[in-house]
Amino acid sequence: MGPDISHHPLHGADGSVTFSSKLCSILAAANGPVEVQRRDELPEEAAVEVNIRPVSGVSGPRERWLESVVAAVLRSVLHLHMHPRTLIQVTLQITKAPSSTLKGAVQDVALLPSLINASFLALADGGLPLRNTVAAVLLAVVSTGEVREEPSEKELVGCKSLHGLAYNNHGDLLLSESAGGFDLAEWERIADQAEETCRAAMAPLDEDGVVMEGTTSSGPWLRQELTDKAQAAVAWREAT
Amino acid sequence: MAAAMVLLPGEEIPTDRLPKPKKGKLTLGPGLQHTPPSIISATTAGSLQVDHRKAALWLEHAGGRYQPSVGDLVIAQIHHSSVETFSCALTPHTSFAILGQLAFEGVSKKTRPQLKAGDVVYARVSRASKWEDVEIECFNSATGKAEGMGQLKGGMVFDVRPAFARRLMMGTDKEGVSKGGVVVLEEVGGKVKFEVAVGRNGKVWVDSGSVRETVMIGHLLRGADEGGWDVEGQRKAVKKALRDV
Amino acid sequence: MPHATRPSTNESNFLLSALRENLRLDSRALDQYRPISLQFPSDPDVHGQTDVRIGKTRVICNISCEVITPYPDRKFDGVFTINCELSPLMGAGVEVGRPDQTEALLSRILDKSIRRSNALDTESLCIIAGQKCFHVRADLHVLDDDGGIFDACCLALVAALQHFRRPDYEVHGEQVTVFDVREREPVRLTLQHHPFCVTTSYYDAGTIMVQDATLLEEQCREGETVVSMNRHGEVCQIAKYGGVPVDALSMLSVVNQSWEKVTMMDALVREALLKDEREKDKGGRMKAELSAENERVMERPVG
Repeated sequence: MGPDISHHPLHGADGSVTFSSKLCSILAAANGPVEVQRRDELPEEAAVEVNIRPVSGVSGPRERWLESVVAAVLRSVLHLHMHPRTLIQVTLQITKAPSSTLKGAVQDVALLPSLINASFLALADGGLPLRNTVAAVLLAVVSTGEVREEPSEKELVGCKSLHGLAYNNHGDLLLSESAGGFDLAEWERIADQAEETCRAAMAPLDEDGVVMEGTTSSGPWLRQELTDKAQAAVAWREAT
Repeated sequence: MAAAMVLLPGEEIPTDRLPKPKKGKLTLGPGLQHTPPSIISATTAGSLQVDHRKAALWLEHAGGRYQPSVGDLVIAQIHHSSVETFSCALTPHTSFAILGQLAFEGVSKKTRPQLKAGDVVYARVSRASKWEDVEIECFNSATGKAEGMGQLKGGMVFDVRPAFARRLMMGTDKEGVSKGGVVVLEEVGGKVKFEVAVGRNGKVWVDSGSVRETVMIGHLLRGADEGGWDVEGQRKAVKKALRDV
Repeated sequence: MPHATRPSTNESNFLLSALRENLRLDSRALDQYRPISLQFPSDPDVHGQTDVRIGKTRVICNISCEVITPYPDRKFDGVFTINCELSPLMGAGVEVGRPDQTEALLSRILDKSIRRSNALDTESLCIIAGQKCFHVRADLHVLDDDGGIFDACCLALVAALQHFRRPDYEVHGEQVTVFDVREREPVRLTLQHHPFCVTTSYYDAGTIMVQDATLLEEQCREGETVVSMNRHGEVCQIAKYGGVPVDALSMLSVVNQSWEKVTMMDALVREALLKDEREKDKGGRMKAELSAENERVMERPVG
């Protein structure tokens, strides 16, 4: 049920999280707002820096592209104007990636939703100022034409197209990257399904703070995680 | 027992949760932002705390870096001095806070405080905005008295999480029960003599007679902070530590 | 410019007075290591990944390999490279893309300890002399730095090398078939010996020696020596880059103390690997006797 998440595994970074989906595992850390280099300083807002480290080897053009996409999404999510002339730094270490049997573009898009989810959770863990909540999801159109949410590696091999989308809690589309062949009508259907899933990830819990029945397979995992963590943080209040 | 409401970033507080202020003014604490005219939204994931008496509300969040705000008492480390000011670090990797060389009790242009790089002072944040450098002072500028601020000599400085430092500074209520749920310092203080200063930026300065006792106090603070001991657990740990010293 | 935070005078003075009374802030003995934990991935098909923790310090290592053409001047050897990077996962003080002094030192020490001491027998990586060989690559990432990253990195690397399995292959004349891990069971690497690093820090004009310093202890120290050796007492390298001058005889005692610690680390790694093997053994795959010493690859008879 939903991705495997563990909070604050690191001590040096301001916020950190390990995020594991079916395809990959990512260790994400967020630092900030910290002092920024003169050359990267922005007068009215915080600068955003994303670093992605692959499982093996050094980071190359592929990681640069992923970094630019993730940074663009995070700029819509962070409250950049609250801390001008500072730096918000997000580092993503991939600890488990899908095997290299997948083709280039498919492998890149497959990582994006997990990278975005991990980044957001690390930023929330670090208490960095956020404007809205974002959830990302991966959808694949397999050879039979069916749409699979959070596909496994087997389903990715030979899929017709792969789509990574992210929505925030106001329903705005923040990320849409696709690989493979598809037409506009197909994309619209996929976008609708993605919006449903993302909204469900952030859906309110019922009175007891328990997962509601009848939601999608992964349920409101994002809200559940953040709620559990926030309640644990004030557990001492209940005790006194 | 109904848990406090948890908000995710970007969510608005429902109007029925807002306290009704007498003077028509609400004070917003950390984690909340006001979008005029009447929307208050969360900027982090935390649980909503409301103080109806003071008409204040804020989001409680365990982690994160300390953000300076006016009136906070902090423990600052001098990094370097210039003609009129000392540049101090409140948190690692952020811009320095400025401490005026005359912002101390009983100094004048002829008798400046002798502070060097690496020294530590107890100060209050006097100015903090996103457009300017943070400013701190080591005296109450209204009365001119130090009120416990100034250089902290000797002892040891321990790092704790800013949220824990806040709990340490919450004090006690009318019955003498600790409001922040942290009793280690009081319990130890019953048997061991020591001086302590708590900085909201996540630093605690401790000076007791002996090295062993200071190490013990540091160990207890870290346990209560990272180990999440509750009040009973803290009492037990203190008893055990006092026996071993 | 993210400036490094030096400890305050109060902290360094207090640390020194505590050490003079034989006390450390976490109540350890001066030569005692923090609890070391070694973890391998739970997936039985993944080899060569370790997650090492010494106290709060945390390092991960990943070993991978590919087939390449050997260097023309080393026709009979495979290639072994170590890539070690510090990252902002440790905190905001690390600048990406600009290797700082610590990173350069770390790479150099690991290189001397493991590569130059031929801990991994590069001849065993050769497939066809002059034409094909294995390139084994080790990627180390420091996730959390609370002191002792040299020790942790070396431990992670040696453990990962022992955990890793390279693909099996067959040579028929000029033709090489490298088998996929699903076709034939992959093979261990040939390690000649297992070197470990022990860092000793000096205080009080070199008279006080401490092992496994935390970050604060490292920042307050006057100098340090990094000794790499294996459990047989063979020293691979000794590094003392400046710092407070130390008596020559005390250097001998440092090497002796390091030997004790290395024996401890070697036993720890051995035990962790054994435990991991047992947990993943699906019955029948594990030989009755486990031996990691000098396992030469058996060449199949041609023809």
